[in-house]
Amino acid sequence: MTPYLLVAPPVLLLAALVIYPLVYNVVLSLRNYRTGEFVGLHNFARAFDDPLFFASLRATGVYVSWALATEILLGLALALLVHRTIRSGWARTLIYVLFFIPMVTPPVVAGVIARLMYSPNYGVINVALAKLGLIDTEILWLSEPGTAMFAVLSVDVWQWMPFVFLVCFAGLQSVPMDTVEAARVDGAGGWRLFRHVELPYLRSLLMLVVVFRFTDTFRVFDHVQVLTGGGPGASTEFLSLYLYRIAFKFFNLSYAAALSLFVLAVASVAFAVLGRYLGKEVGE
Amino acid sequence: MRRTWLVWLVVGLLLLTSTGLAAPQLPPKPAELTMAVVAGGETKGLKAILPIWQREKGVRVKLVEFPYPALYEKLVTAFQANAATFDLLIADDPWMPKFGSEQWLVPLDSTFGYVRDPDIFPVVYDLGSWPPPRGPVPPDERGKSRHLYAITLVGNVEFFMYRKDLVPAPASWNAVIANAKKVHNPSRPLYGYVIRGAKGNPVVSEFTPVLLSYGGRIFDDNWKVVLNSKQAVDALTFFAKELKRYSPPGVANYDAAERAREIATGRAAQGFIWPAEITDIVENPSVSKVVGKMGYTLAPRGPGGKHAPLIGNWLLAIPKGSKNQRWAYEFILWATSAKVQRPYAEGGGIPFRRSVLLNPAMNKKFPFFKAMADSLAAPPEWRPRTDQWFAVEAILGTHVNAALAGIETPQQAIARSASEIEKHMREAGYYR
Amino acid sequence: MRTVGVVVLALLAVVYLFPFYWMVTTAVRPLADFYQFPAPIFPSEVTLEPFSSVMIGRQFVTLLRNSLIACLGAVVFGIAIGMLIAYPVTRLPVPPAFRRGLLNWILSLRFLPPIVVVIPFFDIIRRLGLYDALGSLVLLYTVFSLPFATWMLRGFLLEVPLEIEEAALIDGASRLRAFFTVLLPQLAPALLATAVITFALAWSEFMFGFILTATQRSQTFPIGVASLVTQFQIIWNEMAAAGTVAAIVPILLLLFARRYVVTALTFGAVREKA
Repeated sequence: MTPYLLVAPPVLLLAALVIYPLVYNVVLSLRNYRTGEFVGLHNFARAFDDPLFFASLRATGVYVSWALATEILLGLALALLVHRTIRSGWARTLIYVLFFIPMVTPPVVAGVIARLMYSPNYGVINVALAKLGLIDTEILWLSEPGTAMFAVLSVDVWQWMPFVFLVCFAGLQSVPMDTVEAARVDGAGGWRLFRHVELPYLRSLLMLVVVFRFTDTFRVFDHVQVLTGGGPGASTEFLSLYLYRIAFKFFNLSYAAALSLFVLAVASVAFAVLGRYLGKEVGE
Repeated sequence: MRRTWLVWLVVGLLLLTSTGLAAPQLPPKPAELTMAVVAGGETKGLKAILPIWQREKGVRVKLVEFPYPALYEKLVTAFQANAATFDLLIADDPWMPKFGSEQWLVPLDSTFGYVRDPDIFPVVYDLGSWPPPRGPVPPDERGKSRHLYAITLVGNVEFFMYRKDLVPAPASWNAVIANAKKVHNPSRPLYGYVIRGAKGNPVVSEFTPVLLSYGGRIFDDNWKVVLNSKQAVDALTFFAKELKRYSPPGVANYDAAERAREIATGRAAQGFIWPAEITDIVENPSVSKVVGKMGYTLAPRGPGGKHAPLIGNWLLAIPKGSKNQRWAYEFILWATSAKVQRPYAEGGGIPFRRSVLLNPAMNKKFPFFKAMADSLAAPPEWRPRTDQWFAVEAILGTHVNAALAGIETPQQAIARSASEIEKHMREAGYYR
Repeated sequence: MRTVGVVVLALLAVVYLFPFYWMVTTAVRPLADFYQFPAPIFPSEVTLEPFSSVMIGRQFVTLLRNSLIACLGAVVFGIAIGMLIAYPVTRLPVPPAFRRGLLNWILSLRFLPPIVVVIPFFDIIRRLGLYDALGSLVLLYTVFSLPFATWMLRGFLLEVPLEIEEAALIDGASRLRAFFTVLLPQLAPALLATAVITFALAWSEFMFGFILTATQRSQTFPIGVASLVTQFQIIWNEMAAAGTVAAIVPILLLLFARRYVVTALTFGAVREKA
């Protein structure tokens, strides 16, 4: 009985903290936010007729997929590179610290620094590109949809690629040396060594990384708020920014609750998919 | 004989009541008054005059500072609980509809017999009154009797600036374009104009005066959305095409910080401005290269012939929960008096009295005071008096920004704003 | 091959460090530097005034203290509660389905986007009388650090052989005693690593801090930093100074516990299969 007794109190507390918001949102979403009268599914129906909501859904999709792909590929490549080329202990320490810096910079600050650097006319990025002869007219980083998306993505990659790197690097180090040696003796070169020996070890770790990065990019808010504020137009208005606007600018808590439930549904589907693989990989 | 007696009686009564009015019985002094204020430059002048008040009256005023969004929310929370947390507060003027319709504030006229002062611009009283004396009144507020709830402390109003060493003062948008053509030279670089075009509040503050000067409106007198009009499309076309042509690249993400930088470095010749940006940056010799070179004037008039500067005052008021209402009122009278407005202005505050703004000595020191007085007398336009304004601003601010960035055409931006605003207002119960 | 690798690394390091360089130099620039075109690469003069002005003038030391309390609180409770979940499912006999279900459910907590729960939580917090109090942040940061903490602890627990504890049990120690005298000392470095990572992740949290606090009494550091973007101005240099301070605290922690942190990041997921 003891394992259940130990687990019960935290689990009950957590369950309460999950169920309460859920019930709260359901109740709110069925009512008019001002008068409190029952309106049925009106708030859900409204979502289907809300182009801005779909725009934010699309923008979030673009953001999550690019951020995930770039961060995982870059992080993994970098981990391999460091693992293969850097041997000395102090150099590795230096690299950890260096790549730890972006992770612990508050996103709001990262956003403001990026705003200084990307600013047309004034920002150092355009100046550097011009000096290198790569551009002859200003790139309007923050006021055109494509480049604005690139700018907010770049901050995410700057901050979180290191996380993928650190996890993968730690994983690579724990691959037993004798397995690697055995593969070497069999004549496995760089790519084959990675594909057949190291990757199987990293797979479960990569799954976890995907889970953590997915959840974080899906909720992105802070740095976008100061960098583009969701603009130009609604091109970088991601789900959390849009929900924030409905809840704290429109004060339409009922509609916000309905949209929240949508978002929750999307998150649950994603978790169900990822969780299945994860269960296979990590769940014994 | 009898008549003389009556005269004496009347005179006596008048004397009695007038002395009664002149020296009202103040309740005992409270230990201190607690005042909720916004954190930032808006309270510079207030902080300069507080020591004088304390010396004169012997009552401490404790300031509790909140960042802008937290202040509104904190006030609402305190009001809903009718808590005695604050004796005084400053409120941004678009908050008045919410505070007024909930009747959270002490009416200054019926409670204390406030007498209007001709030295104060009528618009200040209009702003502090609820329900609003002009423009549409929210449906639930129509029957209520009007009271004065608040008086301006920070006389913020948006007006126009131009490089007076390069161009003459523009009175109309045509003159603005003529000026821009004359000096615009991107290779120098010198831009003819600069827009604060970032999404949301910034771009709406820039666009609203243009919209109104073109004769466009967001709502009619019954809150019907009348934004989708030829005037509005013309105004946005002018804003997003004509003005943008003479602006630095990338203004669609410019906020006040970026605009002030363009002006202060001498790279842009014209644009809108709020007083706080002038004292902090444009006329601040430690960062600005254009000190003394800027002229300030009323917002340009549009084809409709109308000047439409935008007002954005911070108002002093007393919450109903306060236990020291009488002394709080005393503070409001004192802080807004002509005598105190001078040290207030000299300490970095934004004054609002005619006599201070038009004073020649003050204008030497603060060259924009005259433009402020003209703008306050125009009278300036206010944000439509509804507690839904922030939603309207968010909607309009998204589409106008999209038009400025070239993602939507002016027609699309106006049509979409209009339909989304209407949808929101319907949800908010404005049409029955 | 190796030289190519080193060159690529060096280039990447430059790209990665440049924004950091920009932050630190922004923090020591006088305001006048922000009014020149283009921005000078090197500060025209180096001043520490932004640091003193933001930390002391604006009382950000208070916010630093608040952040430390909230994050350390979350670390302590997160590890304690995480242990309450991870210990039974790894060391005591439970059906595998229960173990998998519970661990996955804990992980699913991370899928709750904050914006979805912030309004209901705001309501709970107000009812508990914890609005604008650090307690609310400790509570929420604990909840949100649990998925990470639990999974890491699980990995570490799996690495400690069951026999160690069993030996103590045979010697007549109670399970509780065996936990505290045998297992915990074995886990000390692991706990340290988990603590550092949990701390670093809570350190930058913004949305809950922003919505659940109102005054400096309970605001955390990132909220203060965000408040330097005001209606008409961004106080660039003070903001960067605050950002620099904010980054230094966890970096120091990392330097202190670096060896264990790297192991912790594998979540035990690798070794278990080896």
